[in-house]
Amino acid sequence: MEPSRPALHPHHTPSLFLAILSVPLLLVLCYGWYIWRSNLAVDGALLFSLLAITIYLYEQNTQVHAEKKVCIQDYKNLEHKFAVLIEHSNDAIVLIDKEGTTTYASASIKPILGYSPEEFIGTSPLQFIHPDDIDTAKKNLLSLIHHPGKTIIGTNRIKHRDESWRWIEGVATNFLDDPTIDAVVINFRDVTDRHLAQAQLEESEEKYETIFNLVPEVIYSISAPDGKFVTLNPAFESITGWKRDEWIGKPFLELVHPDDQASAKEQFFKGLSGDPIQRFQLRIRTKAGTYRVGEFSSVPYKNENGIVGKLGTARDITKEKELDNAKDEFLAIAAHQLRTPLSSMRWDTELLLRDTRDDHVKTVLERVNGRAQKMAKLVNDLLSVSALTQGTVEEHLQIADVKTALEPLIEQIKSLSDQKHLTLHTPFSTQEALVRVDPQYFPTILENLLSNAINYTPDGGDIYIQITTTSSEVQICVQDTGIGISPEDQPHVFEKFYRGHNANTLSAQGSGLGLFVVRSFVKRWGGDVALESTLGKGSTFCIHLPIAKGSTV
Amino acid sequence: MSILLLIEDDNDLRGTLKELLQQEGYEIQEATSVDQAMTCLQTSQPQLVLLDIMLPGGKNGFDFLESIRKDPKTKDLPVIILSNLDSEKTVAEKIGIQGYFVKANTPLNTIVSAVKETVKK
Repeated sequence: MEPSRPALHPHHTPSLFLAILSVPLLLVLCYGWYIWRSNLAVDGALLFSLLAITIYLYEQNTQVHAEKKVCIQDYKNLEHKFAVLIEHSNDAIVLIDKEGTTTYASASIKPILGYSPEEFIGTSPLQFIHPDDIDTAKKNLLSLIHHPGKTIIGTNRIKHRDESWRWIEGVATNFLDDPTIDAVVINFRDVTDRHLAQAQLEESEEKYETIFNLVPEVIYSISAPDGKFVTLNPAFESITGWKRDEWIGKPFLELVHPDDQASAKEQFFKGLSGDPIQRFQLRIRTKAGTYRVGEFSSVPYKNENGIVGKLGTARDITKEKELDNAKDEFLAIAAHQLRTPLSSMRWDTELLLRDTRDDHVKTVLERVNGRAQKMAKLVNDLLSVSALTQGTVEEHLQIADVKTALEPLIEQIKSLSDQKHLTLHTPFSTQEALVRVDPQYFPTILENLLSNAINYTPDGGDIYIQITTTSSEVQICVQDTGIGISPEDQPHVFEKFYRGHNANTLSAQGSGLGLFVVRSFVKRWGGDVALESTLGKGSTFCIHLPIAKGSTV
Repeated sequence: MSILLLIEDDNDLRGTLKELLQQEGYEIQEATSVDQAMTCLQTSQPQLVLLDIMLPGGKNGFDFLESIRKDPKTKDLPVIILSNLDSEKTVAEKIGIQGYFVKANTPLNTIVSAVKETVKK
């Protein structure tokens, strides 16, 4: 498209000049013919001079004309260059005169705002500006027009030809006192996407700020490897009593209970190597000098330089721990209070049983003794169930040898099994069978299987206890020739308080908790319990536990 | 005759254990608190201590155990714990004991065997 051209152009002058020059040339030629005819020497010299001058002038004219032609071409090229640059730029250019009317609009205005340049020329540049932005825009334009050389940068909403609003960023400069431009030049571009992105960013930052400030858990970040606090949220202050800036920039380890520092350090570095979410508990020192227990969740924090720190949250579980401890204390006292008279009752009957020769007395004493033992077992089961349903229980697992754990228990059940004339088969090898279990409850679960076998096997029966080891697991099986469990009951026997339909045939009077406790603990330790049984023939219970590497404590 | 120091505050339990162990031929010294037990130790040298954990007077069985383990005269004195708490076994083993039994779960015969084994050594 040809740009509009200014008025003056040295287009027609060269041919006019030539025309003017041709007249004296003709006269000279006529006079020259006359002189040659009349043989006048002086006239000849004069004629010659005139001719020389004419030729000289002619040459000059041609030269100027040629130079002018080059000049014109250069100018044309330059104009074309700028036209191309302007028209192909993503930015649009608009020129405004001192009355505030648009005198020029570049082609790029069409892709940006949908209008053709013609629709812009001759109008006010403010006509398409959003009503909310128009006052500021008017003020800016007015101020600009009255201050030559001034530049204003602004962003306004301008209506696109399709009626949508676009965010337009413009740079306006006053060139009114520059005669070659004589206009206010506005250079503008569409920044709608950028504006939207910015708005979204601000919105999500606001959301994050809200969470960060209001959540009742501590949110923190720590730099690595120096372990210094980088950010802390307000909850930190309300939970610990410290002000945030007392700890930002300081190493987090100094806040941790001395006994927990080794573990805290370990967790910190473990997380840096890229482990996923870590959960752990630590005691944190408050400003008052007391300690609060926190449940931590932390992840490594990455930026373009790699993993630069840890990011995490901490929940104050001090109350929960206190509650757990109080519950433990209560249970311990309750268990102790129940167990004391039970031990006394049991031992007194056993004391008499050592001396008595009277069969009748013996029988009755054995009954009393048996019930005391059962009540003691019930207390054991209640304590176990309570431990299982506890919230945040820390596992105290240790490596134990199965045979070592079983032997004292077998000793204990000997008297009971002798009473019923049951034969205990214990083909134990000398080989170690190591498992990783809680030492407080491992004897309990073994005892449960043994006492079940005894209680549900009629007089004269057999009980087989076997320990088998494979490369990956240890299997402890207790098999009896007892009353067995029906197929209908089998899927339910591990449920809390469930007793098989035939369970009372031997007046066994179990609590229904034994197998629940066995399975719950075994599962916690990474294993499982299997059952095989035939009604009237007997049952086999097998505990499978993963084999432990290492040695017993 | 071997002397056993029996530290148990429940009268019934203490009575039964005393009777049992006297039957087995041991001389029994009794104490119902840690302070009483420490006084006992000043005047006699038992071969074995049977120790309960829950005791009156502000000091429990662990206080007694730690005290005697610190004293060079009694640091190797054998101790068997007879308690109705089962949560303390691991802790006790760390300090150093020769047996831990939950009274309600343990028949008298087991206790007799344990005493015989420990005193013999």
